[in-house]
Amino acid sequence: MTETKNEVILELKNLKKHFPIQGGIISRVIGYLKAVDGVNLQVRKGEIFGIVGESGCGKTTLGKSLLHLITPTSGEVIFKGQNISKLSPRNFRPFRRDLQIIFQDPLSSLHPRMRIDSLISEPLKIHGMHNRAQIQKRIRELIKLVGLDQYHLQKYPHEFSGGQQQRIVIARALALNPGFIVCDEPVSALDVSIQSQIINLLQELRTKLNLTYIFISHNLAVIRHISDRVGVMYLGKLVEVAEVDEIYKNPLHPYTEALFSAIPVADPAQRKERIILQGNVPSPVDIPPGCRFQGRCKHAMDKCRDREPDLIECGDGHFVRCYLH
Amino acid sequence: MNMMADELLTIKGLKAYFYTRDGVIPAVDDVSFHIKKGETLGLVGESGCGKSATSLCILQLFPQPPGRIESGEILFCGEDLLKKNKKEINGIRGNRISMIFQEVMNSLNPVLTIGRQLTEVIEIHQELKREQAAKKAVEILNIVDIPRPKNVMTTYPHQLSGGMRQRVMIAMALLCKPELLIADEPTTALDVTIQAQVIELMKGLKEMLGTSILFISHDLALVSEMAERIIVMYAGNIIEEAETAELFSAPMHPYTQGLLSSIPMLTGERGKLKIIKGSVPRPTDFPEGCRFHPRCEKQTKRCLDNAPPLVKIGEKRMVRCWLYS
Repeated sequence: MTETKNEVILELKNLKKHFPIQGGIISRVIGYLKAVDGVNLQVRKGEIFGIVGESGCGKTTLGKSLLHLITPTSGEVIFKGQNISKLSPRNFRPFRRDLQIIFQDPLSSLHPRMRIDSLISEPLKIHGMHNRAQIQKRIRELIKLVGLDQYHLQKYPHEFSGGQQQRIVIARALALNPGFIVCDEPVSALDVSIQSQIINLLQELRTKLNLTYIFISHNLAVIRHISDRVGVMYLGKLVEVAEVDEIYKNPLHPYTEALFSAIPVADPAQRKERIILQGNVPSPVDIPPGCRFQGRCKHAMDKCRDREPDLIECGDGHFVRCYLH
Repeated sequence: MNMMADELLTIKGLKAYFYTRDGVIPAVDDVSFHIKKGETLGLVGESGCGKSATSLCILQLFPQPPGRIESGEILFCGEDLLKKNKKEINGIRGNRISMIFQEVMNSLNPVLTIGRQLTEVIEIHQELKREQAAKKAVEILNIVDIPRPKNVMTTYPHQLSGGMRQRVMIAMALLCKPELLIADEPTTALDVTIQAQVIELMKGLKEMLGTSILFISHDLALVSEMAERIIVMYAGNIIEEAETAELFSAPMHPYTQGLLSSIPMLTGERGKLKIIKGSVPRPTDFPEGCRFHPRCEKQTKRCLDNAPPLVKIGEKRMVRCWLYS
């Protein structure tokens, strides 16, 4: 039991994605935007790994580059023991079945002029299922799985509410029986009263279908609710990784601490002293030397400015990138 | 005893409808509330519930056509704002009542410097010379904690970060020391750590200047940090009004109850989230009877046929539900 739980399904080794910036008359490369700048990560089978961070920290680029939707600059993505980061599109295709993604805005993920049945059946056809009866059967299974009805299959995407559209996107992602899904802000575009429906659905599907998720969000409460382990990203790197209860009870990195304390709390009795960060997130084009956070950190020391700290373990699966620990 | 005396803004029976090809949308349907001097009132609800439409009516910014204000009064210091002509309302807008919007980039003129945009407000409302106006603008930028305000005066909006731009907007709104500030989702486009900066700033300014604030947001937790009293809207109606602490400790309307228990929290258990079934009704066809009844767990036959009135419970609470009347 414990052995299967710790089996690593996906591993990232020093994954980097640098976007070139062109300028001048002949569009020379004048710099790089370092969206993902060396991420090391292990995701275990069956877990939900949450990635939090503010806008521009590289969390979406991370999700896309590990799925080969954009080609990483360097580093390795090891999925079920095989390095998939350098595969050609043709050789990658078998892995597409196993690796799926759900995006933030469901309406822009669904072709407006395709009916729901053809939207959901498309991946099946592409991956070689041609028997019409089989396809129909599979579509009906899928639509039921995400809590919609059969009559919905004849409609078009705009006829649905945001929550239902996201259910359709989930059904399509599940069509090929994937084992691993990247959920990129799947509830952020939805109304508050609908978010909980989708969160519950994703959790149920995980148990029912034995899925593994990477769950990307800027919403710390949602991440706490759904994740087993959490990684905090800042300027293209993970600064802290730990079990969810551990990291929320005992955040070690000064950035994590400030991030958590910045969330508004509904219950007045639960409020704590707030840490207000000075300044803004630096630009990923022009990353400060040493520790990326030193410019905004109240604990910054001389060595923080000289050399970037490593992500080190300080007790029971709790990793932090800071000289204080 | 004299209740009217400390009411700065009183809205009575406001109805504002949109006339579209798809039918009539009762965006604001019989809304009444008041804001006292120095008070912060929170207005909460999901998208399309009419919270923004209500705030636009106050300054005659409600788009007419396609909209029309059907009936109602908006009394500001005893005078009906809906009866003011263009010149009179211009004298109040940005002077005695000002507004901050979510999309700051749309609220600032991209081809004018920050300095020009700030001094324009002062020149129009206070008839000061340009140099004096510039001095005043630098002062106000200082108050909203903008570093190097003199340099910022000569920059254009796109050169500033999102948080900085929202500070400039707040500065602009406060230039004439308004009696009422309407803040419509002022931090929704910002990251959490920047949101925390802006919220702390607004709290501080409120204490310093004694401005009343109408704070509109979909984020219950955020509103609870700012407001002393909260109004919850659903489908164009006010469905509950209470003091902040009471609303959270003992929500009365099934919608408020559902909303509070469906939001993932930062503390406590992480079991299955409670959900509100269904989705927000389309504004062109709100259900008959109580507008929440198709989603309500406690609906009775009465809810299907008759819309419940907003009734007073005790001194300071109002709720629109047959369970309480």
